[in-house]
Amino acid sequence: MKRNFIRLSAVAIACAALGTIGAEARTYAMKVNLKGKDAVTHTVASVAKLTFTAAGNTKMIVTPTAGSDMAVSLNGVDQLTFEGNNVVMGTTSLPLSSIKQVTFDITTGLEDVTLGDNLTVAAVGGILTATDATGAAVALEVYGIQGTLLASAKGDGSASVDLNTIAGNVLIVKANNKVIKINR
Amino acid sequence: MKKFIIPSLLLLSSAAYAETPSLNVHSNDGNVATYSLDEVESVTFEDITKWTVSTIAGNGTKANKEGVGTAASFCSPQGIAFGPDGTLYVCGQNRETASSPFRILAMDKDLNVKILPITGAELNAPWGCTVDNDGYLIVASKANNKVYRINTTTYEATEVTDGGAFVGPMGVKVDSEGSLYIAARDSKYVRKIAKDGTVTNYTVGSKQGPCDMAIDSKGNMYVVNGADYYVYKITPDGTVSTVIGNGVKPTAATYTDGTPGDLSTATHGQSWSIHIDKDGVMYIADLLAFVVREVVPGPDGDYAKGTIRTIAGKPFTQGTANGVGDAANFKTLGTVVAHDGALYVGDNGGNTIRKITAE
Repeated sequence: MKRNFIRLSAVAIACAALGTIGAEARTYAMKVNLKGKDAVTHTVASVAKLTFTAAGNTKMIVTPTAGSDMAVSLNGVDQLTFEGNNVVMGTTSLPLSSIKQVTFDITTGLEDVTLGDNLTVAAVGGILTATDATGAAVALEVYGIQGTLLASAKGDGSASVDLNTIAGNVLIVKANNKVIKINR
Repeated sequence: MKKFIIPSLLLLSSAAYAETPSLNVHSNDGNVATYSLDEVESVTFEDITKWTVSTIAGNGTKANKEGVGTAASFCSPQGIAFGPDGTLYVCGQNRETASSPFRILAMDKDLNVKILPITGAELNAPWGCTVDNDGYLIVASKANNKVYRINTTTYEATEVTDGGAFVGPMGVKVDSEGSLYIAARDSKYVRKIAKDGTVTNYTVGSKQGPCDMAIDSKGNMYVVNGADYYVYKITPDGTVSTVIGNGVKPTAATYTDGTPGDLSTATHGQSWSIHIDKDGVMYIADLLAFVVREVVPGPDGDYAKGTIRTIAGKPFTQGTANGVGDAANFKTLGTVVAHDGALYVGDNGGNTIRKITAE
């Protein structure tokens, strides 16, 4: 599915076309689906607001039931509230019935870093890749802050691990003999 | 801006570590549930509305009898429509005996049911009905191919004549501009009679002509019938497309609400009634599957890209039980209409008026 990164104001325009939908008496549940755990359900009517802590450059990806994804930087979102059967973000009101799911991209803010003359580390779409420009062997290891090895990969010239499958915001990355901490 | 931190920072205490991005759910009671975004796969929203079906009028006996609520009775209540004062008009598609007159009844807000003393109409299997923008009751008299406009104060009826000879009128609707739409099943078209008298026929249906239609805010028509297993869309220029269903007769095993965003994946049975409420939500009474369904449109009001849900009745289970959701049953679904935050159904086979409330 095509993913567009657009600012909140643009989302407002896009969503205005969806119109006001639904009878007054609808009851919605908000399910927070957790990786490897049971989902937690909140009745929307019982929720005063949603806020984000230390969201930084995190993007909220809204996938509608039909149409293209919409990405919103949480930098511009103080809170989300619910009015009737809609979720409200600033001046945007989006019918809950039009939302297939909301996900969060918390890795897109990572910047490339050079660890040596030839060795660099970069993350694209949550995939962390260490690359040696000379094509030499690369050993990439990712540790939690407690020192637990969470993922590793080896390759000639480059090696990659999928950060999307790894919990934890602060990770220790070892690429060959170089060690960095990443804060995603 | 998130960034890598150079190795020397590893020597810093844990206080230097940034907070984990998190989602905080603030409840109305002041509690806050916090979820690390690392651990959140997704957030989804689910309509968990409970639709409760009750019988508000009619005792199941096939007869035209005045009374209050379930003390009254109806003869196959097919068409129902609300007047501006909240009066519910009920068309009795059948009659008590072969020599009995066909009747139209009216029920007020207190559920008092009266037989209307209509004059000037030769009603024969009155099917669909609606109330026009001037407060007149429009009734399709199916078996004698007539449509009547009835004064709801004097109950005097006049025949709607436009020079055409439509056959088998069933559903009737009026749009916001005052145009009258007649689903002429056996003529295989929807006949639109504009306020200025202009007549346009919209041909639709393959195995059967239209039984009912609903009109959205853009002037598009949505048409149902009893044999094609589609919900059709007709744009004002006459372009016909399908918005719901796959053209295959559903069974208990194949019945499905399909995938949100693509309602060609949902099955559609047979219907004599389709309705769009003031919020743009579509309701369909599926008499093949004995269920009432709602369709929430997708982007730009596109119903084909919306979501369909079965809200009342258990698919392919016939009955008269009241209850929540699929615990309720319908006998033969006539008309479904939305009014004042609830749905009302003429249960043709059950000889009752059912109310469906959301909570």
